[in-house]
Amino acid sequence: MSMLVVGLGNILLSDEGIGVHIVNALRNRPLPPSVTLMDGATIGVDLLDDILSSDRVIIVDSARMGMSAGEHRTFTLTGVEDSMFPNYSLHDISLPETLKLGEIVGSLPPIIIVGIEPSSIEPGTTVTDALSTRFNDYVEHVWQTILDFNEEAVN
Amino acid sequence: MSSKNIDLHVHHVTRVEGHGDVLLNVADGKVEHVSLNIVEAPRFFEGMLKGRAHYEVREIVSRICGICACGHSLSSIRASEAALGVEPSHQVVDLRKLVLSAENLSSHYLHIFFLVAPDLFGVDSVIPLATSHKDVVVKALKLKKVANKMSDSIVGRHTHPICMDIKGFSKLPTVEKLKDIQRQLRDSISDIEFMIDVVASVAGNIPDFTRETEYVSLGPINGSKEYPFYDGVIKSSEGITYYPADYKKVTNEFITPDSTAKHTRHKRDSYMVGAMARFNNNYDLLRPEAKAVAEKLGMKAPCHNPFMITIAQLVETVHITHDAIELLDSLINRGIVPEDYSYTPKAGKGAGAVEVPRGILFHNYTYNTHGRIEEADAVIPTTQNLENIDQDMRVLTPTILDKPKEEISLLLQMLVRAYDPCISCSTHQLNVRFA
Repeated sequence: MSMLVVGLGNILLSDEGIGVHIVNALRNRPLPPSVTLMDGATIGVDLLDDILSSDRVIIVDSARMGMSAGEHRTFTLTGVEDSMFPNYSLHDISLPETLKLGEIVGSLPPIIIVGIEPSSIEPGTTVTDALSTRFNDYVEHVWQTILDFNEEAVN
Repeated sequence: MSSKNIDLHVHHVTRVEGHGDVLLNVADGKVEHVSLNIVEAPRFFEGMLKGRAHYEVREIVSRICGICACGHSLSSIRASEAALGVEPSHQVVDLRKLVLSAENLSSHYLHIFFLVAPDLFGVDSVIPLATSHKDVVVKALKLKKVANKMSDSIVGRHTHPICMDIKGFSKLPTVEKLKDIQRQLRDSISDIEFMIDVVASVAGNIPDFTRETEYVSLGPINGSKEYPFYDGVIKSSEGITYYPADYKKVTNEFITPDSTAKHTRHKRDSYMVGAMARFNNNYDLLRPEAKAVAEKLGMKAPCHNPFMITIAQLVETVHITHDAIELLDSLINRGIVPEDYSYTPKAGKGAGAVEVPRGILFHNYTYNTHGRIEEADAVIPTTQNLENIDQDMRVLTPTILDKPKEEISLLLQMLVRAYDPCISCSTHQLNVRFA
């Protein structure tokens, strides 16, 4: 069993990079040997190969979900409206489009997405206070999600 | 004269990197306004570099773009080396050329087969294309994987390079890894040939449009016979060359009311950078295998049809693949030699120019005596192409006014996409609505 945990986002655009910061912080935590942590940055369709070669995937990313800044939500693709794919693409090959493509050309493994509602995605190399004050919660939450997901896969 | 009135506003042209709107206003059959309007807020990366140390800079700039990460790093490293008076070894230069080759291959495959191919096949996006022509999309993914593996093997990651630094590499690839890349590149040739036939089968759908413009790219330096991506002078098709340090004599950036991004011009109203500018300026330096593909697809230098940029990219993938195989031969035969890449920082100014997938990219830095950035400037290829896109639209639009509004809209969007513009410099945020 192999699990990919990928943090996405641009660390030069403040809260946009939260996924990358969380995954990098997880490098200090004990993790099952099956887990690979990946700083995915602003990777596009190239993520597909990594996803298709994993048995379980957790994606950590900033997400506009209509929640208050700093709140997080964990969801799977089945809980998301198809409108997550408006015209399929705004930023070359987006994550939703990459996943849709994966369904067609291969077989997607179970995927969990942890979204963090950003406060600002203006240029800046640090996250805003709304997120930095809760940063340890995010790391704890994603860590626990990894352990639970791993437990579920093993059993 | 037609009395046609059109008010067209395409919000967020799809299949480009970032957010750009196409605006068209036609009154009584006369084009009153047409432009690509950039709606992204400008990014202040240059400001972010101020005060940063020489060893931090290339990592920060690599995060500007997920597609041109290695290109930004290399242009940055070259600017830093020029400023700090550092000379990389022959081995380092060869490895950097391979890194640039890998990135150009990966990006060209993305643009040709994921972003432009849907237009040529008459579908909305790569998703229906993957359903109707799964073999094409699977092969495109496979080709991208080879390019990514190449990058991964040399710089430790296929998006943002880890071990490529000023003067050298913090970790050098093994000869075994280089042999593996070379084998994969050789194996990819049959897939490229298959894809050339695929493109040839739909090339008739490439719009026929001509507007002569100025072409700017790197040009050979000191009589070099190499089609230049990594090293060279700045070459204009108007018969002028400059050293990279004089890049501002070419770019002459200016502001337009329609866009938050700057525009550029040199000797004409606008100029083009990218695969077609390189093809036009340096055709003689292309390998015969690449020239044969150009001939097969009906592309001759100089070509003045911007919709043919995609074909120029395809020609370049052939050139780059064969060239990289040859360069790998040389590196493998010499063996990889450990090198000292230490240097002493000092005050200085320097510019770097490299050819990234979308065209010539400039970085220019001033360092203080502590090796920290005092001033930084970067001019990306898309900035240089924006005015050319607008000028193309002004010539193209009056010739297509007899077409239905939807078709006019599609053609203008196809024109924007042809340039492979990178408008946002990469945001990756998800927008989610729960059912």
